[in-house]
Amino acid sequence: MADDERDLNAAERALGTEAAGTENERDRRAREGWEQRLAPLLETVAPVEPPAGLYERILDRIVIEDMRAELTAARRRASRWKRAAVFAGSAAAAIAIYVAVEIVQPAPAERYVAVVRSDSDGSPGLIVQFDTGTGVATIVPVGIPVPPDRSLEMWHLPAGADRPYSLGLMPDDPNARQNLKAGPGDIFAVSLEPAGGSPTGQPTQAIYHGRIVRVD
Amino acid sequence: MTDSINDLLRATAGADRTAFHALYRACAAKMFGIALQVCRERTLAEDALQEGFVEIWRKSAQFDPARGRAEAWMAVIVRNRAVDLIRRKGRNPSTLGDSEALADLAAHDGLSGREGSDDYLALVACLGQLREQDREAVLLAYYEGASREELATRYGAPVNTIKARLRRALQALRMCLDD
Repeated sequence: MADDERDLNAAERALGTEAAGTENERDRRAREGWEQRLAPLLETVAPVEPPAGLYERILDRIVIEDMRAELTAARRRASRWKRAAVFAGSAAAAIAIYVAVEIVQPAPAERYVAVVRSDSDGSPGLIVQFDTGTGVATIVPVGIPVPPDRSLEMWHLPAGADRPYSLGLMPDDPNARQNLKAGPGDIFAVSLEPAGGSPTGQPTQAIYHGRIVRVD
Repeated sequence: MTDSINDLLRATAGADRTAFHALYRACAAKMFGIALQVCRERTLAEDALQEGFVEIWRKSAQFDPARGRAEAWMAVIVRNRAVDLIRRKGRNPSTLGDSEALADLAAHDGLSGREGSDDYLALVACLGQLREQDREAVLLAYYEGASREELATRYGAPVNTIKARLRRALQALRMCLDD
């Protein structure tokens, strides 16, 4: 293909009037060159404040995509090992539960995920997943640093309830729950407690929060 | 400000979530303006902004400060995500061509009173040398994500004519800019 034609194809891919498709290194550089040529047009577009909560949606998407990628890899491993392998490590154990759940009930009706994040820096501390198809919830601790002589406790505030109820102390490893029913609008939290858990039956100092979202 | 956005993007490449949050706070309004410019609908624009920032998080290590400003790099990502989104989901074709950014440049009245970077002014000057319909077609594609088919409908011309028009315009722009 003539160089000129090739460069104009790249220009149209940058403009968006030609479908992206696969590119070799040279075509990619040509397209990026055009993107740079045209980008100054975006300088003068007026800013508009995005709605509140969009940043949290972005973080949730990143965590959910990462988790899906891990699950896809795990499913591949699980089928290779004919579902009989011994899993080591906490993430793998969570995945084993997830895969087992998927085998029992291959088509869950609705799947929900809550990424419970630190109020101070947004880092994830706990992931709660719930399938209405199987009725099984999976709790995956991500690793929250806990001061000596204190405990972390998990809480579930169902939509419309006025008080959270305890899901017990934060486990070291992921586990599955049959009796945890979650749905739209539910909130999960993690609190910092005296060693052994909350003395009052209510959270002492909730430091992580997350709202459940439907993922597919 | 530019330096600090470059720094925040570089820190984001090291998986620093605090820097990513600061980057979002610094740039989200600008990026949402761009998403809205392309999508013309808030719900679509919110999805485009979300997809754009997920991509910024994932590709931040690929940003090369030697090749441009961090904000421009991010703006292109968000704009491209917005164009992909309207291709996938469709949008109301009757809104095509009603944006202010487009009207401002399509009815080109020279550089007087315009403000912006040297690159912006050079690009506007070169756009000004195009035939009016060629300029408008390029700007509709860039600012509002118009496809060849949408442009063909708008101008009542065959798709191949539109393709030729876009290429003629892009060729002229390249010559003008590289001069």
